[in-house]
Amino acid sequence: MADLKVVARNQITKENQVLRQILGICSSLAVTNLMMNSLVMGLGVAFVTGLSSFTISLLNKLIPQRIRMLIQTFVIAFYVILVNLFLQAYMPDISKQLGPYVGLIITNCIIMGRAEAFAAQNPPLPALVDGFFSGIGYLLVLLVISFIREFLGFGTLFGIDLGLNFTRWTLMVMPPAAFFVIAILIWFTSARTIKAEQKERSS
Amino acid sequence: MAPNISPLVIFIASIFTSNMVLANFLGMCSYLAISSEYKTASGLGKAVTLVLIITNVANWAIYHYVIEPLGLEYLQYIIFIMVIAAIVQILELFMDRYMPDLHANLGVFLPLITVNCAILGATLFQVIRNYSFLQTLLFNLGSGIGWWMAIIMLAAIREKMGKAKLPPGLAGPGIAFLITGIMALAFVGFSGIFPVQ
Amino acid sequence: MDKSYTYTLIFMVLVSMILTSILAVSNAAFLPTINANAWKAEQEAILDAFGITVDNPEDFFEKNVKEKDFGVVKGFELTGDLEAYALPFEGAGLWGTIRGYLALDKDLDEILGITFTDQSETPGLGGRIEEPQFRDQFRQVVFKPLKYDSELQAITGATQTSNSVLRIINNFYDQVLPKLEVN
Repeated sequence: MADLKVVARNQITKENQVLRQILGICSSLAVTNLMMNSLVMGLGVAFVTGLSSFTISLLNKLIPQRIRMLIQTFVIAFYVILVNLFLQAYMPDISKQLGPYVGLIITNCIIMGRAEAFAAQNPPLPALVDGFFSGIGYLLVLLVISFIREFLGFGTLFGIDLGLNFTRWTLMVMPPAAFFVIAILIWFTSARTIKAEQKERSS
Repeated sequence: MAPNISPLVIFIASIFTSNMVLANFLGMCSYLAISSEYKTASGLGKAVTLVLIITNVANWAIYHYVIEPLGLEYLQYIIFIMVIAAIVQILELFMDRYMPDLHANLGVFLPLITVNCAILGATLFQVIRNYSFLQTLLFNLGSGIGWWMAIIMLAAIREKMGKAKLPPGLAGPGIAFLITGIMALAFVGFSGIFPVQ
Repeated sequence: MDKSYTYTLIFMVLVSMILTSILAVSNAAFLPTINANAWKAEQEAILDAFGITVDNPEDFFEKNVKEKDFGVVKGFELTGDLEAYALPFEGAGLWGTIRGYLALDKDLDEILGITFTDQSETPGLGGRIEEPQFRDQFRQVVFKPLKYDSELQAITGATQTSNSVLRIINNFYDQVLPKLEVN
């Protein structure tokens, strides 16, 4: 069990898929205009990654090497379709907002990445934990980005108007801002990691 | 039922005002990974354009003649991604056999493109917007050209930046995103350069 | 660990069949809810166009709104305290078709409101036509060819989409309004 905790924590911090591995960027930027969208998208990715990794790990010995990528893609697409059906049925407004980006979870490099890098060589339960928490790590980054964008751009958080009176920074709602915010986040985390490494080396 | 928008307008818009990378954030992983050298970036851009056109024309046909009539909309994600994977595989074999020079230049990128969200993204966009055949063709041609433009611009700038001294932590993805953000900002200026009708 | 071709084929077919059947079942199970949601959203859009907010939209709709064939389009008629018509419109936006409902008073000379049910405009820019701030400008406006001025304002940064909306409404005025059969 101690093993699993480490796996989970790593996915959120040291090996965060978005900020450290720079994966899963496409959708990260597209849905971060609103915090609610980020939350739903993040949970969707966590769910799909966890279950895909779990399923693939279960089938590990059975999958012929030749069609490995194909089967992985199939399993991932399977779970994404389930998530999409669920959203359409129970959260139709959000489903409309997320639009094609739910389908694009299939091509989200995080999921394929975890399937190849972890699920293929590990037992089902750790694969589930690793997959799920990689999605959570992704979710947290998305929430930070969308917090900045939604607050400055709309003055709301999760759609709730905070009633603060300041000129809305419309640029935050537009694509360029997503790039700038994530650039700054990556810069910040990279700089901290470099400093930490330097400290380790000198001590 | 297709929208009454001129295919030419769609073509120009998909390059400038709704650029795949700079406005729709699609295809970022390979965009970032392969943009350190101009020549490779240009090769990837051309490969992406080629794959976009071929696979999405195929997906258009499959959607209108197979998926819709049979009511298989809920399976469309799987069908589309399988078609993309299959066509890319066939394309690679075809190029290897009959166009070895082209294969030497572009072939290595092809497997990478299968999971490029730009391809599936374009498919889903064209389905949502219910484009006609001609609109689909020009949409994908424009999207490919737009993606190619974005990546060669980034590569050209990064090659120059290779000699600059950056603050710690900014090198690599950090500066790439900043540059992309500025390009995206510039492209926003293209909105409204032509009337819709 | 190299498996034979036959194994590969059988595995592929088996996996495809199992996964696809699960999806087919899920789809069938979810479909009623998804359709119910779509209809509910439609009802809410129509009531919003009329400018009506109630606690129970479905109940209110059942009691007071009926489908009505206007000849050139099929829309809805509101009866009760307020009498009005909701007519569907569609036209080209910047990116795709914009669809929605235009609510007109009984004499067809005043716009009560407008809602958009379908649009693929740029999120955060053209997509903002769905926001109440933009749509409320059309409430209780005399129905005649419109243009943007100090009273009716387009969305900053979304000129194309804003113009498309006016073009669609004006088109409706020119082409559809004359042909509407109210009886």
